Amino acid sequence: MNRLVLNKVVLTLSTISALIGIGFLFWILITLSYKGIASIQLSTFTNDLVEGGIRNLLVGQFTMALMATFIAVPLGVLAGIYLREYGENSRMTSIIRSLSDVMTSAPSIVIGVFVFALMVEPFGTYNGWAGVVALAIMMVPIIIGTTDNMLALVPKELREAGIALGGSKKQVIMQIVLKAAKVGVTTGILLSFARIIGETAPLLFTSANNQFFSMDLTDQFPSLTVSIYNLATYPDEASRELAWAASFILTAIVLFINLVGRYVTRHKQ
Amino acid sequence: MEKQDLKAVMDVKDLFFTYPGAPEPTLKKNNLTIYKNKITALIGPSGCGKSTLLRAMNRIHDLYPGAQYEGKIDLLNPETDKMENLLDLQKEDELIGLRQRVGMIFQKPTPFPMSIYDNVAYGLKLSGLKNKSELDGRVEKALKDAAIWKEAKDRLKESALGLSGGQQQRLCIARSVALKPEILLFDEPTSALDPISTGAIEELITELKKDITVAIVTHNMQQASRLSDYTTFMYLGDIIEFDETEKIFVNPSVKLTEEYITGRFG
Amino acid sequence: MLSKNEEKLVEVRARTVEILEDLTISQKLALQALEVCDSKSFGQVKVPLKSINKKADDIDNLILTVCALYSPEAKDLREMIAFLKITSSLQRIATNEKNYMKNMAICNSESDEEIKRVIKESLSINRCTIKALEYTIEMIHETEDDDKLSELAARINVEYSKTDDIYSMIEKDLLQKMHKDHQVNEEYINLMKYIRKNLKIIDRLEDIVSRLIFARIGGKL
Repeated sequence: MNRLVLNKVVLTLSTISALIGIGFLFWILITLSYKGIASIQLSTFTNDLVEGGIRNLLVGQFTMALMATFIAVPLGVLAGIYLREYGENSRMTSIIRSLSDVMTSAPSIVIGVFVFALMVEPFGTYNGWAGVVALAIMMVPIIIGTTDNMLALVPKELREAGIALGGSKKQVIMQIVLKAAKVGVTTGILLSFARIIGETAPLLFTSANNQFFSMDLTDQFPSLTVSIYNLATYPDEASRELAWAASFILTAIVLFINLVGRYVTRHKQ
Repeated sequence: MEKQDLKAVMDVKDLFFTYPGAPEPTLKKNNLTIYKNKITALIGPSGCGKSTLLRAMNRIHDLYPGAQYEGKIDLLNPETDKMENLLDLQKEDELIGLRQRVGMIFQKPTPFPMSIYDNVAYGLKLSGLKNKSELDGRVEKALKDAAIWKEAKDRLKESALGLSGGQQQRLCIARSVALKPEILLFDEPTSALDPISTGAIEELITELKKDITVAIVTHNMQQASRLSDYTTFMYLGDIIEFDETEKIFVNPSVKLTEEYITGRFG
Repeated sequence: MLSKNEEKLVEVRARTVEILEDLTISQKLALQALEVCDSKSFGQVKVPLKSINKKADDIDNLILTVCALYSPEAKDLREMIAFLKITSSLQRIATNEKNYMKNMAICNSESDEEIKRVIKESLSINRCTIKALEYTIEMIHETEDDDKLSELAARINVEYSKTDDIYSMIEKDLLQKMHKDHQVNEEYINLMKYIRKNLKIIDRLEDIVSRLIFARIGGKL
């Protein structure tokens, strides 16, 4: 009798908690959509920040994210391969794994400050490359982690079968194992991209922002997220409306990337 | 069985094997001869070392560093007609060469994540074969030898993962057979399959022995008695008895063997 | 492709038929020799019987190996076990034949005309036995049609009944003779004994038939 009551109580409490959580989520999304969509016009996409639009910011954010991806993916995937395939359970391997895990939750502002000291101070100017590097530093541990774990899911018999046919270790890893883990590794990359596309802190003191359209990574570089940070604090109405529009668009982008990730992995159980 | 027909292609001599990090050897002073174009079965209770012994024959233990061998495994070199110790091989390309002569089929069918054609051609391409028409020919022959050509010929470019379990296992056999190995090692090849697929694979193995020498590990005694010419009974890392299958199943010499065969093991 | 068990069954049947053919040849030779009481050709009758024991042992070992290696079940198992018993019956038939020929030494050029006449009459039994042997061989070859199988078994049964009748007639005849002569004729008694013992062969063939029916159709051994 007691247990039935306890069961009902816990059930009720957890349902209420879930509803509260979902409630807040929907509240955010609805507010964002309402305020954001109201502030969007055609000029939002055709003008640069200097003219009250976000065109240069979108281009800038994606450019840095893509450059960061080009750097982070080879580093992360190869490191993941090293850990899982060549690491041989040594102490060194487990240390690297743990460190990489920790790094995935490293405070992004700390990474930003680190890259500031490394790439902004010596050159005396904010620059896009510093932003790229900061974003890449955030992506690498995530990619290492997913690559490592996805490779671990590949059954050892598959490797043995490749070896048994006369494949060298390198051939078996590249031609068979990686292919078998292809979907998982790609998901990891997509997830890490989705993660950094919405980051602000690493860019604050590295690439900062730029009102104008620019593809020059050696100088301050336009960023959507940093702009939202700035715009939200300006006193004028237009800026705040633009901030809402930018926030809504950024959320939509992140949502979209996540959905793409799910679609790509739809066949994997 | 005519004794003069027998030719040894592999000779295991006083073999000890220890897994990386293990305190004691898993295989203890194993002695065994594998005869050409015969099927030799390895039977015994779980943990007796039969798979361990089989996997020593193509040095696949070396994938996990730290394995230790003692003793010899002599493999016949068909060109010089001399026995060479395959435990001496150290370099990666030497081991690759070994595995192209001594192939292995595993318990779980392991199709590669590629098309049926690419699966079978994989080993061939690794060995350097590039000519497309030659590859096509070898792939077709291998699929025919593995009795899966009819089912595969209209979907060579489709993923191998779409095949059923029994078909996948035959694909793995085709993959290995394509390399024209001298010896094929089967590690419980039908444990994961249904009875009909099992029957098909058994028929296939019996056909294969005309051209290839076969060693098969099985936990199914009836499979060993049905298929093999020679049977090895192992227990706790020792080879207890090795003889013609008929002798082992009608009148074994060692009491332990008889206890196992008659199901009197604990 | 035939299963291993089917392959081996074919071999077992072929070898058993070989023994039956040896027995048939021996019976036919005996018939010929006894028709004219030519005791010199009695030796020839034993020749086809010489290898039967070895052949039967070989079949037994073959069946043993098959059971050890291929685990026959159902029809295959019934037939293997049936043939294991059949070889024993065949070995005993061979022994019966040898003894019969030994006993028939009384049929020679010097023997009584009456004895010779009775022996000639008893040869009808031998003819029935030969027919039964030939039907048995046919039964072993008949692996498809159960009705045909039963028909052959019935025919063998008919021959068996015939031999029973023939013997009864001979027995009655000789007993009447002895009654008329008011004396017990030792030779006649022995002759009846020998002819009766000859009936054992077709008796054993009946056993073989019932084993074959068990193998092909079912029931109990």
